[in-house]
Amino acid sequence: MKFWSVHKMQNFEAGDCPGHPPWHSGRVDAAKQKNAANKKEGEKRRDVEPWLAQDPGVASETHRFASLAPDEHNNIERHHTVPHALLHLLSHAAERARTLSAGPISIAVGSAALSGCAGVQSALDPRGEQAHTLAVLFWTFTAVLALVWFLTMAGLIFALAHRRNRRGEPAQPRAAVKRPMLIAFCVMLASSTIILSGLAVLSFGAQKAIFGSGAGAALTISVIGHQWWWQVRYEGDGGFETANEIRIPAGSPVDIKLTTADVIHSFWIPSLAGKLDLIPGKSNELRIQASKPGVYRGQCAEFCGQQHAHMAIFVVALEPREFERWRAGQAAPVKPTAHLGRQGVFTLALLENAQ
Amino acid sequence: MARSVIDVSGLPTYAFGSRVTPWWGTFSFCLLEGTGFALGIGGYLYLAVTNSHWAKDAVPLNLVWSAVFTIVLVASTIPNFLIKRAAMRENLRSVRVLLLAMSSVGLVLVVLRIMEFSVLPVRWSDNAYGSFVWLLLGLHGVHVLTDVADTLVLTVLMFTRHGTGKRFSDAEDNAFYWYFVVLSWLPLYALLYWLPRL
Amino acid sequence: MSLASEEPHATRDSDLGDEELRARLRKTWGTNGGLIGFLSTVDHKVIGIRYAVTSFAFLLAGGVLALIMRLQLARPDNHLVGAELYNQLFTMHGTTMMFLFGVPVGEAFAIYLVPLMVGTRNIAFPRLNAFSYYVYLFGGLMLWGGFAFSIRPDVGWFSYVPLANLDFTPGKGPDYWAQMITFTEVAALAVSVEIVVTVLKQRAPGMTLDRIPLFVWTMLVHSFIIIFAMPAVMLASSMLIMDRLVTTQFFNADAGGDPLLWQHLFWFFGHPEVYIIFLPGTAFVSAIVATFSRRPVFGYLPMVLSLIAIGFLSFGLWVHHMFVTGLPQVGAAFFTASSMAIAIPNGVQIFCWIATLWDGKPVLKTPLIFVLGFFFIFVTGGLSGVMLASVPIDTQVHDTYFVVAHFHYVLIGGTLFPLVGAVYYWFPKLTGRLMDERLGKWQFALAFIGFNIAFFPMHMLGLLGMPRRVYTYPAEIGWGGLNLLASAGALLFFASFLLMAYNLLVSARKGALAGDNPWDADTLEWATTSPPQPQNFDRIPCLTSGSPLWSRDDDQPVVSGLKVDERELVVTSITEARPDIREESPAPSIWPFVAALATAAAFIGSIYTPWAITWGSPVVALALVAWFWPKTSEENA
Repeated sequence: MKFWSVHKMQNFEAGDCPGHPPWHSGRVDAAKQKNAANKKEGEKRRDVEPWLAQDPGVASETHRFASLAPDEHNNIERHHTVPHALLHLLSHAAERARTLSAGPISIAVGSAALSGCAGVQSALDPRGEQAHTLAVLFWTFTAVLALVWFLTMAGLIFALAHRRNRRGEPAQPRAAVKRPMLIAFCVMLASSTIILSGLAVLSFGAQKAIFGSGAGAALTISVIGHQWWWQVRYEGDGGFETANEIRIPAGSPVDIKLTTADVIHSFWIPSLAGKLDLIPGKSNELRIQASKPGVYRGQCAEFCGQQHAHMAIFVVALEPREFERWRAGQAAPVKPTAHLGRQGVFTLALLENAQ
Repeated sequence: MARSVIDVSGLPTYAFGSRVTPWWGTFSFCLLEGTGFALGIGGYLYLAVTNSHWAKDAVPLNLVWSAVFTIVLVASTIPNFLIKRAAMRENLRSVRVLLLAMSSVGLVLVVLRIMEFSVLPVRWSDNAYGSFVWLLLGLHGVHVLTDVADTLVLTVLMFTRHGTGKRFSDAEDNAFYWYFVVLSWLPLYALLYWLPRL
Repeated sequence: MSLASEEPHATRDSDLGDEELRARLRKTWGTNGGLIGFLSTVDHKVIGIRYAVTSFAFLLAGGVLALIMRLQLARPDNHLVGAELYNQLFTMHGTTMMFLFGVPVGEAFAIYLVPLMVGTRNIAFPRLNAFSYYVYLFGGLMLWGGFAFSIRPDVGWFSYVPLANLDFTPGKGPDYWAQMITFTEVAALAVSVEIVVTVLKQRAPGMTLDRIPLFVWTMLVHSFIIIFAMPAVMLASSMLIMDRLVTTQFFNADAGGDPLLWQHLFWFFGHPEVYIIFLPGTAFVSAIVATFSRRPVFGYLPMVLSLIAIGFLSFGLWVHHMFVTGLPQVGAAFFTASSMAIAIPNGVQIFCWIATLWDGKPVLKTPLIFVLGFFFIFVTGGLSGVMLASVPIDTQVHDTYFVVAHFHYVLIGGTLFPLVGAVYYWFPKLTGRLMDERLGKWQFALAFIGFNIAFFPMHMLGLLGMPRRVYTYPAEIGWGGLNLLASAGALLFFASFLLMAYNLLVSARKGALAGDNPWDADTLEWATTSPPQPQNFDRIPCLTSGSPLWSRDDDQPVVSGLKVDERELVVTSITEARPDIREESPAPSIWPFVAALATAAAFIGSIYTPWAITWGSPVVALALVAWFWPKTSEENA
């Protein structure tokens, strides 16, 4: 079936990716810097990135950024607002990127992206406990309801096929057969009630299993929705922030605290868990857990304005030890690079990739 | 071939109460407008329960004008009842006098409602509480206003050559709608004026 | 009281022969010529056809928008339309299909058919009916006129706040959207009141409660749902526009408001809305299944009880649109149960229709074929709806293409397929000519195949993680193939409607003559001429059974004693339909049109200044006074 071949095609195996691709660290630093810049300049950030995409020489590199950042690479009208000085810096970045793309690492990254390292994003490809429970529930419903569908259609076809060959006979103001139909009616009513009650009980069970988990997780991460990017805040001592990427330790539950800075968004990583909205004046909490290390893609699921389509987020699950090392590194003071401005962030990121 | 089985030529051309179509039309409009009021009340209570700012914002409203308004409104059900009765008896004289009385009472109520707005301690733009107070008072005010306008037109009609026959049915229908205006006010009054004081 | 004895000079139907009676009644009930006559008409058939034509025009417009969206999504990273335009397109598509097509088209059929089916001469409150049409027309023209002049709402047909607030959407788009809602809801509410009163009080003598055709029962329940649901969205859209125009704070979380209040009010209307659109579909199915099975629908009582149950339950489901907003779990679980429960009355209906086909001898004409398509598609959509009722499953598929697939299966399968069948079925009544059967079967093939190719893949896209309302998607995520397939299906589906338009145009001129009752159907609209006379029936029928035309009673019992030169109709008692009053039905009047025009001017003006309401209201009030002011000729008692 068509469905399955397509599904297979994009059934990205996290294992296909290099355990922790070299671009990760660069990317997160970049995101972190970017985030700082975002806070100040918000809108303008989106004005800049289209330029990167315009240069065919940087296609493979910018593509990564494009898929990471909530930007748009085709809304070219917005460029006019970009000052000339920025243009200069950008073309400089593009220059650097072109030289990089010749390097072995970026080729590896590029091909990894093509082969699906953009991350898994499918409710049918569960990589965490919750998503697994949901997938099982989904397939159970599908099986039962498909059976109901086939029975109904069989009844319809039988009703049409069994035509007592007396066409042309005038219409009758009352039914010809009553008793068998009355019995069938009662059977139908009883069985549909039983089936629906059964499904409801299954649904309640899954609901309890997923949302009922009492104890708090060891790690809580705040995610703040913005038009059109995700601010990720690791709380506690040595807290720090990233953008559009959440790193978590594989195998242990993580609580995500969801709030929004502007409109309603919805946080959804289909391979790990169901979605939950970010609503002004309200704080929601969602538990996610990745069984294995890997990259899991998600995107905003509540329409949030012009660039809703590009509001993607990645969950990167790392080996617990790896995660701790990364976290310690993030918590350390950051070299002052703010003077480079936002463009500097990209240059820096590209440079770090090369190292 | 058609065979006549019922002769309707002896039936009246109008009647009163739920026998006529306008009564059912008015009744349907009462249902849908009542739903609107109920949802408005629901929205008010929803915010009162869910939003933590609400308790601070919900300053009690002045009781003077609203009390006068409520007393006059409830008292108006007496002439309203009399109109209904006089209309069904097709007593033109009584209907004329009572319609004049109801028109005056209606205009007094409109003035009272305006006075009420002028002393509200909260503006519609201050907070959601203020918005709801203005919305609900305004919504009910529109109902008072439209029925008063309807009553005035009917009063004029009753003093012209049109004041016969089916007009009595209209007068009765108008009185029926006024009961709705009165009844819908009572829960609003309790909600807006007394709930924040509890 | 004014009794007949007081008016001895009036001509009554019993005084005249058939030919003269028809001619005299035509004159009494007819519509005048000229522009004023055209705008003054109160004939429910004329207004019903106007409603139908207008809503089909909006269907076509909404369909074109859908096609553009499908072309944009056919390829990943496509640049055919940008984000801004795409967001406007899906907003306009949803809004047009829900408010300007889905609701009005059901009303169009109700306005045209219900008075005929209950055997009366006009709808109750015919001037209100005319008013409602103009208000609907002006609302639609306002929204699309704004669209043409680049005032385009782009925040979805659901307009969630705070995105729809002034802070995030500064243009006038959402204001036009909110006022359009008010227009169309005023129209829908007015029509509902008319239908309720027509069904309760104007049924032909002898049409007791248990002899009301299922079509009419369905429209009655449909009207009651509108009466209880539409005030919610009118209230909500008024609150939204006040937040935007006069800085009220209803939905501002920082000032005591709550964005979720919008969602509660919107979905309190929004879920019944689904049934408001779907129930006319079931009304068509009941009529078509009975006629082509040559049997009344099996299980009259269970059918009526199911309809009433659907009406009640439809108000207990709205929270399933809000399962992922973080509501308390216990509350959410309650709505799982209620959402699943509504599958039972729907199942009862499906069973009864299939049982009718089984018992009878189905004649496979185009209307019935479209109804068979309905079974296939609607049952699919209904069952995926059971999945959406489950809170856990909903957290995965909510706001994805799975939901898009689901509700297109329900709405297109549940309403549009029966609707096309209904057009083929009642076209001969409206025009006196049959539509082409062969083209009809081709249309069905195109529509059925095209629809399934377009929408079935969307189930998978949703499960593969594709959210709704995205204007594009990256290539490497692998949604390209299924999207391309869906777009190809959409083209086929659209083509089927072009074929239908062709069939309509050709058949209206050259179709085979139909006669009064081409399908040998059972309900009263087939007892009169095709097209019906302005007075509907020369002599008002009396019912002695629930199957007036199948009981083979050549000696049709009728009412006599109605005046011929005045617009008199019989008002009957609610349960037993005993004749009670000869009520005067209002004559044509230009004032409903004037009142609608003034209302439209006031509403549109209010988008720019709140004073427009202040200045507009007296004008509307004057028009209403003129509308209700009695004519001297009526004062003859």
